[in-house]
Amino acid sequence: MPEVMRHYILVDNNEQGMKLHRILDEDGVENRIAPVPQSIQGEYPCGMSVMIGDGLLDKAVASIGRHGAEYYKIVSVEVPFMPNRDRYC
Amino acid sequence: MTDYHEMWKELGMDIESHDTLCEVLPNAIGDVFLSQENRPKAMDFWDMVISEVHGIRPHELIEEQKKGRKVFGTFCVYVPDEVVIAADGIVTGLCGGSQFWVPAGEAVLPKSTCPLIKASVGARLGRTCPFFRIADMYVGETTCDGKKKAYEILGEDVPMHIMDVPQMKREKDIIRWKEEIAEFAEKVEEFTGNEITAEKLGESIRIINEKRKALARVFECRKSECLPISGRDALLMMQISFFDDPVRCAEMCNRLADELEERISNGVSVVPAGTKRILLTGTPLAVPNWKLHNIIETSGAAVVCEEMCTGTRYFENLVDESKTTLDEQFMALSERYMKTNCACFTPNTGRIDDIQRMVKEYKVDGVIDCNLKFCCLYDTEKYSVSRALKNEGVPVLSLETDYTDTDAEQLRTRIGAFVEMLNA
Repeated sequence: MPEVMRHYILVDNNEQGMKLHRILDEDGVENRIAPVPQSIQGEYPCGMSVMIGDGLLDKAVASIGRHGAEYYKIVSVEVPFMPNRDRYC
Repeated sequence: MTDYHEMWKELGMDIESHDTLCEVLPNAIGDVFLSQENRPKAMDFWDMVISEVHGIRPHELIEEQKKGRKVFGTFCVYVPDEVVIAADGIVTGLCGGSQFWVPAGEAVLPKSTCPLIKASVGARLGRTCPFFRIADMYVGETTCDGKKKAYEILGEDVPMHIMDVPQMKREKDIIRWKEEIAEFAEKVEEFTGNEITAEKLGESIRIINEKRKALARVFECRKSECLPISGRDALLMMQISFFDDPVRCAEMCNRLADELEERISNGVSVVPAGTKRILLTGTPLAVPNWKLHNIIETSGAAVVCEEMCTGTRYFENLVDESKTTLDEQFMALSERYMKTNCACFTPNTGRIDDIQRMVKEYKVDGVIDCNLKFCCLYDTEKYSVSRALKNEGVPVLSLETDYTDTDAEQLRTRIGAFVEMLNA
């Protein structure tokens, strides 16, 4: 499966994350709440982030700027979602 | 970012070991949930909760404890949350749905114990579940022999109250369960220092009924031929409902149901028309046990109903709200909880009646009856469940699994063949 670039907007806390999620929704920027990916957990604590797909970063950044929304950092990572991987917890 | 490590450290958790669990969760969530197309927007709440499943709610519970409230950790749908809430206590579920916790459980329990029990004990003894660390009291029940023995170990260093669940459903058993509930109420009063009045119990009965109604609304939407939510998402909602504040849980489930009802009226389905509809029955699927749902739904079928403790058994039947004395309310609670059909009862024909009814209500094409390994009770009931369904011409597949990934390919083969047979 080809790896897909996704952008994770890291936030200071879940309240900030949910606020950012709502702002992006209102501006029509497709996004989902997602856990901070495993590949960057060494650098950042685990927890929630706001995930946007490739090609939507500019729209997201513009929306964030327009609303003065707070966030911690944006990290771009190639994360494959593999529903048939069968690696559960 | 919120770093919960300090909180976990103060709870006496094994941080290093717990971090390894945190590492695997994002991939599993990505594969099982985020890989889906066209999910309801209202799932954002549960996406947030599961992303910080050992952070957000534990933090809330600790803050409430600082105000003097007591937290009761429970294992089973027979424990009446209403009684705890009436004494201003808080109910939480406890960890037990991951292979991660099983080895620590096997260190003290026989390997031939069901994975749910081994994982629960392992989560407690391995100090890798914040809910087990936070709970001021555990409330067990006598629904199986494995749990009864496990409670003796779990109760060694945390106060433990065991409720003696009857094994039959005669009138005298319902009265006996009422007495057991009354005794539990006394224990809760003593432990919290708060009196349970008829007024308070009436209010808590109403709160939990509202939660049940909200969960039922979501399930009602799953009966539609236009399926507005996947089984995976519905399962996540259900699993988290055991941990959440009941008022917020009802609010979020109603918000989700609003969206699902709108989806149905707009013809928005998460699966193509004609996708085979599966009812899953058997032993509970504690968070983060998503294996069966994921395999079924990536094998061309959709799970539309769970006849299990993490499903319809949790919310079907309301408690009568018209009673005004504690004695009457305890009886009303007993009558409601004794309607839940668990394999620990004999006979348990009510469960078969439920499955047959749900097959019709949820427009089910096939039933998958699955028990966790070493659950003798549900394993034994497979015979009568299978026979009853076959007599009605309902295809049924009987399975057994545990929390490991090692049987996933075998399950894929069997479930794939079953779906193919349904499609033939």
